[in-house]
Amino acid sequence: MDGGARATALPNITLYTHEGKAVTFYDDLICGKVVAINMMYAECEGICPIATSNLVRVQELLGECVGRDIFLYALTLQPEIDTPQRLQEYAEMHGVKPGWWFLTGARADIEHLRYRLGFFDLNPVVDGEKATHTGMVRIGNDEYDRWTSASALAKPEQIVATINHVDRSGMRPVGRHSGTLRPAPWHLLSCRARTSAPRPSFLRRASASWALGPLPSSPVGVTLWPKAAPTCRSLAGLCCSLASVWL
Amino acid sequence: MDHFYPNILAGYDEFHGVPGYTIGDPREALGTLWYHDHTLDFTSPNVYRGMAGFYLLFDDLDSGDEHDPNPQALRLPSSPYDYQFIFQDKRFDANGVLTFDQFTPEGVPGDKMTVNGKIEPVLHVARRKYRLRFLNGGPTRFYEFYLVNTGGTASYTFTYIANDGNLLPAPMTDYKVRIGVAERADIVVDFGGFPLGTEFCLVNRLEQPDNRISIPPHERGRKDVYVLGPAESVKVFLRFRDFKGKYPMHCHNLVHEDHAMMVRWDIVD
Repeated sequence: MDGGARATALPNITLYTHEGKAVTFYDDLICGKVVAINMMYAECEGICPIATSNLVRVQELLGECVGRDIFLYALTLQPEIDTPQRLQEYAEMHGVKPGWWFLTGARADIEHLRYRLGFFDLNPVVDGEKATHTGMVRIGNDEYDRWTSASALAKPEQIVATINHVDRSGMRPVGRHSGTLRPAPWHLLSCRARTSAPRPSFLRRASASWALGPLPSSPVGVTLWPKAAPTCRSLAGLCCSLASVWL
Repeated sequence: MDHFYPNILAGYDEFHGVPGYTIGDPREALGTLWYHDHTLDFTSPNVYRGMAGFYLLFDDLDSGDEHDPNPQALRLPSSPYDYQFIFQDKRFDANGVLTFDQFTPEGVPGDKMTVNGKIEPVLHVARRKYRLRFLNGGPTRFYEFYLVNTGGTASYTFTYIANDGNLLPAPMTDYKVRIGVAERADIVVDFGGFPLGTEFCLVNRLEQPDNRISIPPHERGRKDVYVLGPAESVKVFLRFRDFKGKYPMHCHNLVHEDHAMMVRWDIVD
């Protein structure tokens, strides 16, 4: 929301990655990032393995952007059983690549986080079923406070499109007075170049007033955006244009 | 708008040129429509901020002129006695700033009731008939409105004339208006019989959905939004008479819509 009115502050609890590293949820995993988060547990024989393999396809579509522009997280519903070691085995078994972390932690912390992320059902019986919480992927962009979700079993291209839709890093003002934003030409952008360069300040201002306020009137120089050979994002951009048919 | 409406009656091909008809099927007439932000996956936060409005259509029958000399015209109360209400519940933080939790899949019921963006406003009325158009602007809460006296000890009847922009087959006397998100209800209230200075309250008395087993009278005309409770299903008749193209359909709990509860009909040759 605008200004300091975020009702969506996420807990900064300590979690452990499948590589055994301690991380704080908000500061290390969410702050300023575009993320996709699902819930799973290693011994799940229902939807989890299908969802995980589907998200492996998502990771392949996103390519080298994962771990740089976009971060994938899988949160276990069985923290007592799913140790970092066990999650590592699970990730290896599914061919998970770097940039996607499987996370475990203290039961109370995981439960708190599960509720906070919206992986719950108002009916306590339904809520008690672990499988209830494995069907959706929470997708968001912390910097712009934009959060949504997609079905974990949606077509990988649809999930990528949903991720692209919250990822405003490719948006820039068009013209001095036009008052509209248009997606930047993805084929001109290298995710490496974009993540290493600081985001132009006008975009930060735009983010604070995205939904209602006027857009900044700074003229835009093409040189702000480094040109590079087509990268992983050219595919992601294609998916974005597919998604726009929906609008 | 959720549905494509090009401001002409549907059924052009069947009715155009038929004696007595100018254009389209008169049964397709619409009145009280609304429009709102429909950003994919982010409808609810934007509509919650107030990006919604009425879109009113008039025709020979419902002409918007209570002095219409046309004998066919309904002469319903017209402006300024035709008044629109968008109901939205909102939640504010300690600094009075609007808040919204995007993570809660069921939505966060607001603790402040707003009408056209104002918290619990007052409308001064004349001693006469009014057409009141109600819209549940969401994002989540359902309402069942009653018109009561200030003590809440008496409720008053009115005439329910239209739902979702469709005039009902016949006007009906009613004492409550129940509307789900995006649903609209037009009622005519006669304030003429009350002494000057009388105060009324429009109150929401819906605590929880009941399990309806029959279609309530106000849902028996044409509609574009249907209320579905847990484990309920509904059969609807959809007709695409004039235009090919893409027609989305979605849960109008706007938060559910933003969590991928949306499908699309692609109408082809």
